[in-house]
Amino acid sequence: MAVVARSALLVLTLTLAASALGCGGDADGDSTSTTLAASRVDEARGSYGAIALGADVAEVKRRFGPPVREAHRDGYLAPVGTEADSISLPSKGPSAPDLRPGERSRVLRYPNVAFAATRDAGVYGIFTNDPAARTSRGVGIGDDQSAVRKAYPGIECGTGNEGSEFPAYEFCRTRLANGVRLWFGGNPVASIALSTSFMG
Amino acid sequence: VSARTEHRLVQAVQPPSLLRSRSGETRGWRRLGGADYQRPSDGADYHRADPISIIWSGPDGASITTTSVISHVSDEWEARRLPSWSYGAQAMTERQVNPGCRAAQYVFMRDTSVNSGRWASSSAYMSSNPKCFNQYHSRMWSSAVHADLTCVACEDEWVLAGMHHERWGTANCHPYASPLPPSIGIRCDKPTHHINMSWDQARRVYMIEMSRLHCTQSQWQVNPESQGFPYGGYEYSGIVSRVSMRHKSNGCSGA
Repeated sequence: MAVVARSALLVLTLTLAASALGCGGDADGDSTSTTLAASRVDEARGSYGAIALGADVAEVKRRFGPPVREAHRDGYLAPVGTEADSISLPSKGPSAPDLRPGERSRVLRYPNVAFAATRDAGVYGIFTNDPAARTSRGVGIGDDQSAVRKAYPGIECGTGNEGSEFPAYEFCRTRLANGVRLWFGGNPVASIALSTSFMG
Repeated sequence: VSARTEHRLVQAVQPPSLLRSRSGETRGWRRLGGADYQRPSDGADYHRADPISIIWSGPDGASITTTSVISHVSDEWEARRLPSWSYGAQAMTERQVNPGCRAAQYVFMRDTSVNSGRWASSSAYMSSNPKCFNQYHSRMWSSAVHADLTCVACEDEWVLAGMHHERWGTANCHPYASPLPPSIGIRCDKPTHHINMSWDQARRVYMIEMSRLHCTQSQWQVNPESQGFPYGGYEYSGIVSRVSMRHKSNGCSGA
C-alpha cells in the first residue's frame, strides 16, 4: 500500500508540476510532460494518450512503436508482464465488435498497456496498469475506490467472479454519455480500462 | 470516439440464437454463448462467460445426459462432482436438475504435472494438491439447463461444456502497512484458479483426447454469441467442437 501511495503521490506531484509549467505534453515537450500526456486517460475522448477508441492498429504502432507482444488470435487482453486477474481487469468482455467471418481480434501488448482491435472497428479496448495513468477527473492507479466514487458519482461498483472458483475482484464501472465504458479494477485501483462494450 | 465506434456503441445486444435439434427443428432450444447457466432472457453480455466450446451430441436419436457422457469421458478423464452440491453420490439425470441451480455441473481434469498423458485420478476437487495446480477443467451442462423448459420432450439431446486450462495459485497481491501492530508485507487473496491458456487451445487438447475413441467434428459450428467474447482475459473464437457418443470402432457415418 505504501509503495502504491508513494507512486500516486509522485504522479500527482509531476502532474501539478507539469500544469504549473504549462506543459501540453506535445511531441516537443520535455520527457516528463510527454510521459504524463501519454498516460492520460481521457474518457471524454475515449482515449489513452494519443490513442482513442476506434483508432487503427497502424496508428497504435506509430504512437507506441512495435508491441512487445502482438497476437492475431488467442491474444491475451492484458499489458505485458501481468495477468489480467492480478490487476483486476474485467473477467468478461469487452466483446470484439464487427468481426469478419473467421476474424479474431488483434491484441497489441506493451508494458503497462494493451490494445485490442478489429479490422473494421479499430481499437475497441484499452487496458492499462500504468502507475502514471490518470483519468480526466483525476483518478489514477493506486487510488482508493472511494476516490473513484467521489469523482464519478453514481458509478456502479461491485465484485466480479464472486462465488466462482476464479479470482474475485472489486471494480467500478460506468457507461458515459458518449457511450464509452470506463472501468476501474481493484481496490485500490490496479487497472483502468476503456472500451466500446460491456466489461464485467 | 470515431464514427465507426459510435456505430458499434449503439448496436443492440444480440438475442439468444436458436440451436437446432438433430432433427432440424428449433423446438424452443436456445444456444447460449456461455456454458454457465445464470441467464434469464435479457441477452446481456455477461451471460456469454465460460464460452461453450464442446458439445456432446449424436449419434442420431441417442439420448445424451451428463451421466452417459461421464461414462464415456471417464475412459480418458477423471470426473469429479462438486462435493458441496448435495444431489447424492450418483450423477443426476436432467429431470432432477433445478435449472436455476449449478448442480448439473461436472468437472473434468487432467493432471499435467506429470507427463504421463493420463488424466488425474485424484478424488479431490479443486484441491490444493500440487498435482492439480495445472489442470484442464470443463463444466458439463445438461441440455435441460439450456432449454427454455417449455419443451420437456426436447431434453436429453446434448451436453454442453466450456473447456479451459487453469493454474491454481494466488492473485491480487497487495503491499500493506499496518500501524497496529506495526507490520508491513504482502497480502494476497486466497488461492484460486487462473485461466492460463486460451479457450481454443484447451478445446483443441480436449478434442485430441476425445478423438482417440470417439467420432468427432473439431469445427462443428461457430456460436455467434461466444465469438469474439473474452472471458478470463482470452477471447474465444466461438468454435464449437462436437463429440459423438459413438466410438470410431463402430463407424462414424451418421454419428
